Amino acid sequence: MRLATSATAAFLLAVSSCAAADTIVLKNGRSIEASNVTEDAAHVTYQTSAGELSIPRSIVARIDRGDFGPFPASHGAADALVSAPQVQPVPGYEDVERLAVHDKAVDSAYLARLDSDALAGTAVSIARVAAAHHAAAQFLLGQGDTDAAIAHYRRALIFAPDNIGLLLNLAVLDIRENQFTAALGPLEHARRVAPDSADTAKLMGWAYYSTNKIDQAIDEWKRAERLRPDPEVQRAVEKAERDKAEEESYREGETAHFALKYYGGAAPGLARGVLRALEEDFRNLEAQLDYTPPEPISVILYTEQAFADITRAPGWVGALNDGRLRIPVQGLNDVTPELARVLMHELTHSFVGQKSRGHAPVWLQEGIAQWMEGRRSNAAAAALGAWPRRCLSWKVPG
Amino acid sequence: MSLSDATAAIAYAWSLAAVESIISTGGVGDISRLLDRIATAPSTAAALDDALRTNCDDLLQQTVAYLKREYVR
Repeated sequence: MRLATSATAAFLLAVSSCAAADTIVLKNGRSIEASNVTEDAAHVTYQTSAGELSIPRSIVARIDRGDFGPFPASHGAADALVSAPQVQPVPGYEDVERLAVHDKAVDSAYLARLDSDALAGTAVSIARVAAAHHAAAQFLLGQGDTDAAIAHYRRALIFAPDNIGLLLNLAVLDIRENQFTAALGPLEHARRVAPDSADTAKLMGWAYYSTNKIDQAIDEWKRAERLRPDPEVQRAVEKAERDKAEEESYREGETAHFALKYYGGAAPGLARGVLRALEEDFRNLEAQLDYTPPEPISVILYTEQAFADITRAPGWVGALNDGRLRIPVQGLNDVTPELARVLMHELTHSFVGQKSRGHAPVWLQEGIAQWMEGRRSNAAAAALGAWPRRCLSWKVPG
Repeated sequence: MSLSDATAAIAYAWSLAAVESIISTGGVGDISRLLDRIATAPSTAAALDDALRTNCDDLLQQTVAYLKREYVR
Protein backbone atom coordinates (compact mmCIF):
# COMPACT_ATOMS: atom_id res chain seq x y z
CA MET A 1 0.00 0.00 0.00
CA ARG A 2 1.28 3.43 -0.84
CA LEU A 3 0.39 6.69 0.80
CA ALA A 4 -1.18 9.37 -1.32
CA THR A 5 0.94 12.49 -1.60
CA SER A 6 -1.18 14.54 0.80
CA ALA A 7 -0.43 12.16 3.65
CA THR A 8 3.29 12.29 3.00
CA ALA A 9 3.22 16.07 3.05
CA ALA A 10 1.55 16.01 6.42
CA PHE A 11 4.46 14.18 7.95
CA LEU A 12 6.45 17.06 9.37
CA LEU A 13 3.39 18.50 11.08
CA ALA A 14 2.30 15.27 12.59
CA VAL A 15 2.38 14.38 16.25
CA SER A 16 0.15 11.50 17.20
CA SER A 17 0.05 8.82 19.83
CA CYS A 18 1.02 5.40 18.60
CA ALA A 19 -0.09 2.28 20.42
CA ALA A 20 1.21 -1.08 19.28
CA ALA A 21 -1.43 -3.51 17.98
CA ASP A 22 -0.88 -7.26 17.82
CA THR A 23 -2.39 -9.88 15.56
CA ILE A 24 -3.36 -13.28 16.88
CA VAL A 25 -3.16 -15.68 13.93
CA LEU A 26 -5.33 -18.74 14.37
CA LYS A 27 -4.54 -22.17 12.96
CA ASN A 28 -7.59 -21.94 10.71
CA GLY A 29 -6.11 -18.89 8.98
CA ARG A 30 -8.30 -16.28 10.65
CA SER A 31 -6.63 -13.45 12.52
CA ILE A 32 -7.65 -11.20 15.38
CA GLU A 33 -6.27 -7.71 15.82
CA ALA A 34 -6.01 -6.84 19.48
CA SER A 35 -3.99 -5.04 22.09
CA ASN A 36 -2.38 -6.15 25.34
CA VAL A 37 -2.07 -9.75 24.20
CA THR A 38 -0.81 -12.08 26.91
CA GLU A 39 -0.47 -15.84 26.88
CA ASP A 40 -0.01 -18.73 29.25
CA ALA A 41 0.13 -22.46 28.67
CA ALA A 42 -3.61 -22.80 28.15
CA HIS A 43 -4.98 -19.45 26.99
CA VAL A 44 -4.30 -16.33 24.97
CA THR A 45 -5.93 -13.26 26.45
CA TYR A 46 -6.40 -9.92 24.71
CA GLN A 47 -8.22 -6.62 24.84
CA THR A 48 -10.78 -5.51 22.29
CA SER A 49 -13.27 -2.71 22.21
CA ALA A 50 -15.70 -5.24 23.67
CA GLY A 51 -13.44 -5.85 26.68
CA GLU A 52 -11.05 -8.63 27.65
CA LEU A 53 -11.43 -11.91 25.76
CA SER A 54 -9.69 -15.24 26.03
CA ILE A 55 -9.25 -18.12 23.57
CA PRO A 56 -7.59 -21.55 23.92
CA ARG A 57 -3.84 -21.51 23.23
CA SER A 58 -4.28 -24.70 21.18
CA ILE A 59 -6.10 -22.90 18.33
CA VAL A 60 -3.46 -20.16 18.01
CA ALA A 61 -0.77 -20.57 15.36
CA ARG A 62 1.23 -17.52 16.41
CA ILE A 63 1.07 -13.97 17.70
CA ASP A 64 2.48 -11.22 15.48
CA ARG A 65 3.55 -8.32 17.62
CA GLY A 66 2.81 -4.84 16.38
CA ASP A 67 6.43 -3.81 16.87
CA PHE A 68 7.06 -0.29 15.60
CA GLY A 69 3.71 1.30 15.88
CA PRO A 70 0.31 1.87 14.54
CA PHE A 71 0.24 -0.24 11.41
CA PRO A 72 -2.24 -3.07 11.48
CA ALA A 73 -0.15 -6.22 11.85
CA SER A 74 -1.31 -7.77 8.63
CA HIS A 75 -1.06 -6.37 5.15
CA GLY A 76 -3.39 -6.65 2.23
CA ALA A 77 -0.99 -8.70 0.20
CA ALA A 78 -1.11 -11.44 2.78
CA ASP A 79 -4.79 -11.22 3.61
CA ALA A 80 -7.16 -13.81 2.30
CA LEU A 81 -10.69 -13.14 1.16
CA VAL A 82 -11.82 -16.25 2.95
CA SER A 83 -10.38 -18.19 5.85
CA ALA A 84 -9.19 -21.76 5.79
CA PRO A 85 -11.69 -24.34 7.00
CA GLN A 86 -10.67 -26.41 10.00
CA VAL A 87 -11.02 -30.04 9.01
CA GLN A 88 -10.01 -32.92 11.24
CA PRO A 89 -8.93 -35.76 8.93
CA VAL A 90 -9.76 -38.57 11.38
CA PRO A 91 -11.64 -37.58 14.52
CA GLY A 92 -11.40 -39.83 17.56
CA TYR A 93 -7.68 -40.55 17.51
CA GLU A 94 -6.58 -38.06 20.14
CA ASP A 95 -4.42 -40.73 21.79
CA VAL A 96 -2.44 -41.13 18.57
CA GLU A 97 -2.08 -37.35 18.27
CA ARG A 98 -0.71 -37.12 21.81
CA LEU A 99 1.85 -39.83 21.03
CA ALA A 100 2.84 -38.22 17.73
CA VAL A 101 3.60 -34.85 19.32
CA HIS A 102 4.79 -34.59 22.88
CA ASP A 103 7.38 -32.65 24.87
CA LYS A 104 7.18 -29.89 22.25
CA ALA A 105 8.48 -32.15 19.47
CA VAL A 106 7.31 -34.57 16.81
CA ASP A 107 8.07 -38.19 17.73
CA SER A 108 9.60 -39.31 14.43
CA ALA A 109 10.20 -42.86 15.64
CA TYR A 110 6.52 -43.23 16.54
CA LEU A 111 5.47 -41.89 13.14
CA ALA A 112 7.86 -44.28 11.40
CA ARG A 113 6.25 -47.19 13.27
CA LEU A 114 2.78 -46.05 12.21
CA ASP A 115 3.98 -45.68 8.60
CA SER A 116 5.23 -49.24 8.74
CA ASP A 117 1.98 -50.53 10.31
CA ALA A 118 -0.07 -48.72 7.66
CA LEU A 119 1.61 -50.73 4.92
CA ALA A 120 -0.65 -53.56 6.06
CA GLY A 121 -3.52 -51.45 4.75
CA THR A 122 -6.05 -52.01 7.53
CA ALA A 123 -8.57 -49.23 8.07
CA VAL A 124 -7.42 -48.65 11.64
CA SER A 125 -3.72 -48.47 10.78
CA ILE A 126 -4.46 -46.00 8.00
CA ALA A 127 -6.62 -43.84 10.26
CA ARG A 128 -3.90 -43.84 12.89
CA VAL A 129 -1.16 -42.80 10.47
CA ALA A 130 -3.38 -40.03 9.04
CA ALA A 131 -4.16 -38.71 12.53
CA ALA A 132 -0.49 -38.80 13.53
CA HIS A 133 0.76 -36.96 10.45
CA HIS A 134 -2.02 -34.39 10.79
CA ALA A 135 -1.03 -33.76 14.42
CA ALA A 136 2.62 -33.45 13.42
CA ALA A 137 1.75 -31.07 10.58
CA GLN A 138 -0.38 -28.85 12.80
CA PHE A 139 2.34 -28.74 15.45
CA LEU A 140 4.98 -27.81 12.88
CA LEU A 141 2.68 -25.20 11.41
CA GLY A 142 2.45 -23.64 14.84
CA GLN A 143 6.24 -23.53 14.84
CA GLY A 144 6.23 -21.76 11.49
CA ASP A 145 7.65 -24.74 9.56
CA THR A 146 5.19 -24.90 6.68
CA ASP A 147 7.45 -27.01 4.45
CA ALA A 148 7.65 -29.76 7.06
CA ALA A 149 3.90 -29.57 7.63
CA ILE A 150 3.28 -30.01 3.90
CA ALA A 151 5.65 -32.98 3.87
CA HIS A 152 3.60 -34.67 6.63
CA TYR A 153 0.34 -34.19 4.73
CA ARG A 154 1.90 -35.59 1.56
CA ARG A 155 3.22 -38.56 3.52
CA ALA A 156 -0.19 -39.22 5.06
CA LEU A 157 -1.85 -39.04 1.65
CA ILE A 158 0.31 -41.91 0.44
CA PHE A 159 -1.60 -44.12 2.87
CA ALA A 160 -4.97 -42.33 2.75
CA PRO A 161 -5.19 -40.72 -0.71
CA ASP A 162 -8.94 -40.08 -0.52
CA ASN A 163 -9.01 -38.51 2.95
CA ILE A 164 -10.79 -35.18 2.47
CA GLY A 165 -9.33 -33.66 5.63
CA LEU A 166 -5.77 -34.37 4.52
CA LEU A 167 -6.45 -33.11 0.99
CA LEU A 168 -8.02 -29.85 2.20
CA ASN A 169 -5.35 -29.18 4.79
CA LEU A 170 -2.66 -29.71 2.15
CA ALA A 171 -4.48 -27.37 -0.23
CA VAL A 172 -4.70 -24.67 2.47
CA LEU A 173 -0.96 -24.83 2.99
CA ASP A 174 -0.29 -24.68 -0.75
CA ILE A 175 -2.51 -21.60 -0.99
CA ARG A 176 -0.75 -19.95 1.93
CA GLU A 177 2.53 -20.61 0.13
CA ASN A 178 1.08 -18.88 -2.95
CA GLN A 179 1.24 -22.18 -4.80
CA PHE A 180 -2.27 -21.74 -6.14
CA THR A 181 -1.91 -24.03 -9.13
CA ALA A 182 -0.42 -26.73 -6.91
CA ALA A 183 -3.37 -26.33 -4.51
CA LEU A 184 -5.80 -27.22 -7.27
CA GLY A 185 -4.34 -30.76 -7.40
CA PRO A 186 -5.57 -31.90 -3.96
CA LEU A 187 -8.73 -29.82 -4.36
CA GLU A 188 -9.71 -31.49 -7.63
CA HIS A 189 -9.04 -34.87 -6.03
CA ALA A 190 -11.21 -33.86 -3.06
CA ARG A 191 -13.97 -32.82 -5.49
CA ARG A 192 -13.92 -36.28 -7.06
CA VAL A 193 -14.09 -37.96 -3.65
CA ALA A 194 -16.77 -35.69 -2.18
CA PRO A 195 -18.47 -33.54 -4.84
CA ASP A 196 -20.68 -31.75 -2.31
CA SER A 197 -17.97 -30.41 -0.02
CA ALA A 198 -18.52 -26.70 0.65
CA ASP A 199 -14.99 -26.44 1.99
CA THR A 200 -13.55 -27.74 -1.28
CA ALA A 201 -15.56 -25.19 -3.26
CA LYS A 202 -14.53 -22.39 -0.90
CA LEU A 203 -10.84 -23.23 -1.30
CA MET A 204 -11.11 -23.68 -5.07
CA GLY A 205 -12.64 -20.21 -5.25
CA TRP A 206 -9.73 -18.86 -3.25
CA ALA A 207 -7.16 -20.52 -5.53
CA TYR A 208 -8.92 -19.34 -8.70
CA TYR A 209 -9.35 -15.79 -7.44
CA SER A 210 -5.67 -15.63 -6.56
CA THR A 211 -4.72 -16.67 -10.08
CA ASN A 212 -7.00 -14.03 -11.59
CA LYS A 213 -9.62 -16.55 -12.78
CA ILE A 214 -12.50 -14.47 -11.50
CA ASP A 215 -15.32 -16.30 -13.32
CA GLN A 216 -14.22 -19.66 -11.95
CA ALA A 217 -13.75 -18.16 -8.48
CA ILE A 218 -17.29 -16.80 -8.50
CA ASP A 219 -18.68 -20.14 -9.70
CA GLU A 220 -16.90 -22.00 -6.92
CA TRP A 221 -17.89 -19.55 -4.17
CA LYS A 222 -21.50 -19.59 -5.32
CA ARG A 223 -21.39 -23.36 -5.26
CA ALA A 224 -19.99 -23.20 -1.71
CA GLU A 225 -22.81 -20.83 -0.75
CA ARG A 226 -25.42 -23.25 -2.12
CA LEU A 227 -23.88 -26.14 -0.21
CA ARG A 228 -23.45 -24.22 3.06
CA PRO A 229 -24.29 -20.53 3.42
CA ASP A 230 -21.37 -18.60 4.85
CA PRO A 231 -21.25 -14.78 5.23
CA GLU A 232 -17.52 -14.78 4.56
CA VAL A 233 -17.97 -16.55 1.24
CA GLN A 234 -20.86 -14.25 0.39
CA ARG A 235 -18.59 -11.23 0.92
CA ALA A 236 -15.94 -12.85 -1.26
CA VAL A 237 -18.51 -13.38 -4.03
CA GLU A 238 -19.58 -9.74 -3.80
CA LYS A 239 -16.00 -8.52 -4.04
CA ALA A 240 -15.22 -10.84 -6.95
CA GLU A 241 -18.39 -9.71 -8.75
CA ARG A 242 -17.38 -6.06 -8.29
CA ASP A 243 -14.02 -6.91 -9.83
CA LYS A 244 -15.68 -8.77 -12.69
CA ALA A 245 -18.17 -6.00 -13.49
CA GLU A 246 -15.41 -3.42 -13.59
CA GLU A 247 -13.04 -5.55 -15.59
CA GLU A 248 -15.47 -6.75 -18.26
CA SER A 249 -14.63 -3.80 -20.46
CA TYR A 250 -10.94 -4.11 -19.75
CA ARG A 251 -8.26 -5.29 -22.09
CA GLU A 252 -5.62 -7.79 -21.13
CA GLY A 253 -1.89 -8.05 -21.56
CA GLU A 254 0.53 -10.71 -20.39
CA THR A 255 4.24 -11.24 -19.90
CA ALA A 256 6.26 -14.01 -18.31
CA HIS A 257 5.53 -12.81 -14.79
CA PHE A 258 2.42 -10.62 -15.05
CA ALA A 259 -1.20 -10.76 -16.12
CA LEU A 260 -2.36 -7.19 -16.74
CA LYS A 261 -5.89 -5.83 -17.11
CA TYR A 262 -6.61 -2.22 -17.97
CA TYR A 263 -9.48 0.02 -18.92
CA GLY A 264 -10.18 -0.28 -22.63
CA GLY A 265 -10.01 3.46 -23.17
CA ALA A 266 -6.54 3.78 -21.67
CA ALA A 267 -3.59 4.53 -23.90
CA PRO A 268 -2.21 1.23 -25.29
CA GLY A 269 1.30 2.56 -24.84
CA LEU A 270 0.66 2.92 -21.13
CA ALA A 271 -0.17 -0.78 -20.70
CA ARG A 272 2.94 -1.79 -22.64
CA GLY A 273 5.05 0.62 -20.62
CA VAL A 274 3.66 -0.68 -17.34
CA LEU A 275 4.44 -4.27 -18.28
CA ARG A 276 7.96 -3.30 -19.37
CA ALA A 277 8.57 -1.44 -16.11
CA LEU A 278 7.18 -4.29 -14.03
CA GLU A 279 9.36 -6.86 -15.76
CA GLU A 280 12.43 -4.76 -15.06
CA ASP A 281 11.36 -4.29 -11.43
CA PHE A 282 10.74 -8.02 -11.19
CA ARG A 283 14.30 -8.79 -12.26
CA ASN A 284 15.70 -6.25 -9.80
CA LEU A 285 13.69 -7.58 -6.88
CA GLU A 286 14.47 -11.15 -7.83
CA ALA A 287 18.19 -10.36 -7.63
CA GLN A 288 18.06 -8.22 -4.50
CA LEU A 289 15.73 -10.39 -2.44
CA ASP A 290 16.96 -13.72 -3.83
CA TYR A 291 13.41 -14.88 -4.45
CA THR A 292 11.15 -15.67 -7.42
CA PRO A 293 7.36 -15.64 -6.95
CA PRO A 294 6.01 -18.97 -8.20
CA GLU A 295 2.84 -17.67 -9.91
CA PRO A 296 2.21 -14.81 -12.37
CA ILE A 297 1.20 -11.61 -10.58
CA SER A 298 -2.11 -9.99 -11.41
CA VAL A 299 -2.07 -6.24 -12.14
CA ILE A 300 -5.06 -3.97 -12.76
CA LEU A 301 -4.85 -0.38 -13.96
CA TYR A 302 -7.85 1.71 -12.92
CA THR A 303 -9.25 5.12 -13.47
CA GLU A 304 -9.23 7.00 -10.14
CA GLN A 305 -12.98 6.59 -9.68
CA ALA A 306 -12.98 2.89 -10.46
CA PHE A 307 -10.10 2.41 -8.03
CA ALA A 308 -12.09 4.02 -5.22
CA ASP A 309 -15.25 2.09 -6.10
CA ILE A 310 -13.62 -1.30 -6.36
CA THR A 311 -11.07 -1.21 -3.58
CA ARG A 312 -13.17 0.84 -1.12
CA ALA A 313 -9.80 1.98 0.22
CA PRO A 314 -9.45 5.10 2.38
CA GLY A 315 -8.76 8.33 0.51
CA TRP A 316 -5.12 8.41 1.54
CA VAL A 317 -4.35 5.12 -0.18
CA GLY A 318 -2.63 5.81 -3.48
CA ALA A 319 -2.41 2.24 -4.77
CA LEU A 320 -3.09 -1.16 -3.32
CA ASN A 321 -1.80 -4.71 -3.32
CA ASP A 322 -4.37 -7.14 -1.97
CA GLY A 323 -2.93 -10.06 -3.87
CA ARG A 324 -3.55 -8.16 -7.10
CA LEU A 325 -1.65 -4.94 -7.82
CA ARG A 326 -4.36 -2.28 -8.17
CA ILE A 327 -2.95 0.93 -9.63
CA PRO A 328 -4.88 4.12 -10.45
CA VAL A 329 -3.55 5.65 -13.67
CA GLN A 330 -6.16 8.15 -14.80
CA GLY A 331 -4.86 10.77 -17.20
CA LEU A 332 -1.53 9.05 -17.86
CA ASN A 333 -0.31 8.16 -21.33
CA ASP A 334 3.02 6.71 -20.35
CA VAL A 335 4.94 5.51 -17.30
CA THR A 336 5.87 8.65 -15.42
CA PRO A 337 8.57 8.60 -12.73
CA GLU A 338 5.83 8.71 -10.08
CA LEU A 339 3.99 5.75 -11.61
CA ALA A 340 7.28 3.86 -11.88
CA ARG A 341 7.79 4.33 -8.13
CA VAL A 342 4.25 3.16 -7.42
CA LEU A 343 4.77 0.02 -9.51
CA MET A 344 8.02 -0.84 -7.75
CA HIS A 345 6.45 -0.17 -4.34
CA GLU A 346 3.46 -2.42 -4.93
CA LEU A 347 5.47 -5.16 -6.62
CA THR A 348 7.82 -5.19 -3.65
CA HIS A 349 4.82 -6.03 -1.46
CA SER A 350 4.19 -9.10 -3.59
CA PHE A 351 7.78 -10.27 -3.21
CA VAL A 352 8.00 -9.51 0.52
CA GLY A 353 4.60 -11.02 1.27
CA GLN A 354 5.39 -14.22 -0.58
CA LYS A 355 9.00 -14.59 0.56
CA SER A 356 7.97 -14.13 4.20
CA ARG A 357 4.90 -16.33 3.66
CA GLY A 358 2.70 -13.47 4.71
CA HIS A 359 4.34 -13.18 8.14
CA ALA A 360 6.32 -9.95 7.65
CA PRO A 361 5.00 -7.23 9.96
CA VAL A 362 3.60 -4.23 8.15
CA TRP A 363 6.33 -1.84 9.29
CA LEU A 364 8.90 -4.08 7.58
CA GLN A 365 6.82 -4.51 4.42
CA GLU A 366 6.27 -0.80 4.09
CA GLY A 367 9.87 0.04 4.92
CA ILE A 368 11.22 -2.32 2.26
CA ALA A 369 8.65 -1.18 -0.32
CA GLN A 370 9.57 2.48 0.21
CA TRP A 371 13.28 1.70 0.07
CA MET A 372 12.90 -0.29 -3.15
CA GLU A 373 10.94 2.52 -4.83
CA GLY A 374 13.91 4.78 -4.09
CA ARG A 375 12.56 6.75 -1.15
CA ARG A 376 15.09 7.71 1.54
CA SER A 377 14.67 9.27 4.95
CA ASN A 378 16.29 12.64 4.37
CA ALA A 379 13.08 14.65 4.18
CA ALA A 380 11.74 13.29 7.42
CA ALA A 381 14.87 12.49 9.35
CA ALA A 382 15.24 15.74 11.24
CA ALA A 383 11.83 15.39 12.80
CA LEU A 384 12.35 11.72 13.61
CA GLY A 385 15.77 12.40 15.07
CA ALA A 386 14.30 14.98 17.41
CA TRP A 387 11.94 12.45 18.95
CA PRO A 388 14.11 9.63 20.22
CA ARG A 389 12.64 9.68 23.71
CA ARG A 390 9.11 9.64 22.40
CA CYS A 391 9.74 6.96 19.83
CA LEU A 392 11.71 4.76 22.16
CA SER A 393 8.72 4.83 24.45
CA TRP A 394 6.83 2.82 21.82
CA LYS A 395 7.33 -0.30 23.84
CA VAL A 396 7.98 -3.32 21.67
CA PRO A 397 6.37 -6.39 23.18
CA GLY A 398 8.43 -9.53 23.80
CA MET B 1 -6.86 0.31 8.16
CA SER B 2 -8.02 3.25 10.24
CA LEU B 3 -5.00 5.49 10.52
CA SER B 4 -5.12 9.24 10.35
CA ASP B 5 -2.99 10.73 7.60
CA ALA B 6 -0.55 12.11 10.13
CA THR B 7 -0.20 8.91 12.13
CA ALA B 8 0.21 6.90 8.96
CA ALA B 9 2.90 9.26 7.70
CA ILE B 10 4.90 8.92 10.90
CA ALA B 11 4.59 5.16 10.86
CA TYR B 12 5.70 5.02 7.23
CA ALA B 13 8.66 7.28 7.96
CA TRP B 14 9.75 5.10 10.86
CA SER B 15 9.39 1.93 8.84
CA LEU B 16 11.61 3.37 6.09
CA ALA B 17 14.16 4.56 8.61
CA ALA B 18 14.33 1.15 10.27
CA VAL B 19 14.85 -0.62 6.95
CA GLU B 20 17.46 1.94 5.92
CA SER B 21 19.37 1.36 9.13
CA ILE B 22 19.31 -2.41 8.62
CA ILE B 23 20.56 -2.05 5.04
CA SER B 24 23.24 0.45 6.05
CA THR B 25 24.63 -2.11 8.49
CA GLY B 26 24.46 -5.34 6.52
CA GLY B 27 23.21 -4.57 3.02
CA VAL B 28 20.04 -5.77 1.32
CA GLY B 29 21.21 -9.31 2.04
CA ASP B 30 20.23 -8.75 5.68
CA ILE B 31 16.70 -7.90 4.58
CA SER B 32 16.56 -11.03 2.46
CA ARG B 33 17.79 -13.17 5.37
CA LEU B 34 15.36 -11.52 7.77
CA LEU B 35 12.43 -12.27 5.45
CA ASP B 36 13.53 -15.89 5.16
CA ARG B 37 13.61 -16.20 8.93
CA ILE B 38 10.29 -14.42 9.37
CA ALA B 39 8.75 -17.01 7.06
CA THR B 40 9.54 -19.77 9.53
CA ALA B 41 10.20 -18.18 12.93
CA PRO B 42 7.44 -18.10 15.55
CA SER B 43 7.60 -14.29 15.79
CA THR B 44 9.25 -11.24 14.30
CA ALA B 45 11.32 -10.89 17.46
CA ALA B 46 12.69 -14.42 17.04
CA ALA B 47 13.46 -13.73 13.38
CA LEU B 48 15.29 -10.50 14.24
CA ASP B 49 17.35 -12.41 16.77
CA ASP B 50 18.11 -15.30 14.39
CA ALA B 51 18.85 -13.25 11.29
CA LEU B 52 20.35 -10.03 12.65
CA ARG B 53 21.26 -10.82 16.26
CA THR B 54 19.19 -7.90 17.43
CA ASN B 55 15.82 -7.21 19.03
CA CYS B 56 13.14 -4.61 18.45
CA ASP B 57 14.36 -2.23 21.16
CA ASP B 58 17.92 -2.35 19.86
CA LEU B 59 16.72 -1.92 16.30
CA LEU B 60 14.80 1.17 17.31
CA GLN B 61 17.87 2.63 19.01
CA GLN B 62 20.02 1.68 16.03
CA THR B 63 17.53 3.48 13.79
CA VAL B 64 17.63 6.65 15.87
CA ALA B 65 21.44 6.58 15.87
CA TYR B 66 21.46 5.97 12.12
CA LEU B 67 19.15 8.93 11.47
CA LYS B 68 21.24 11.23 13.61
CA ARG B 69 24.45 10.09 11.96
CA GLU B 70 23.21 10.24 8.39
CA TYR B 71 20.74 13.09 8.30
CA VAL B 72 20.88 15.40 11.31
CA ARG B 73 23.57 18.03 11.06
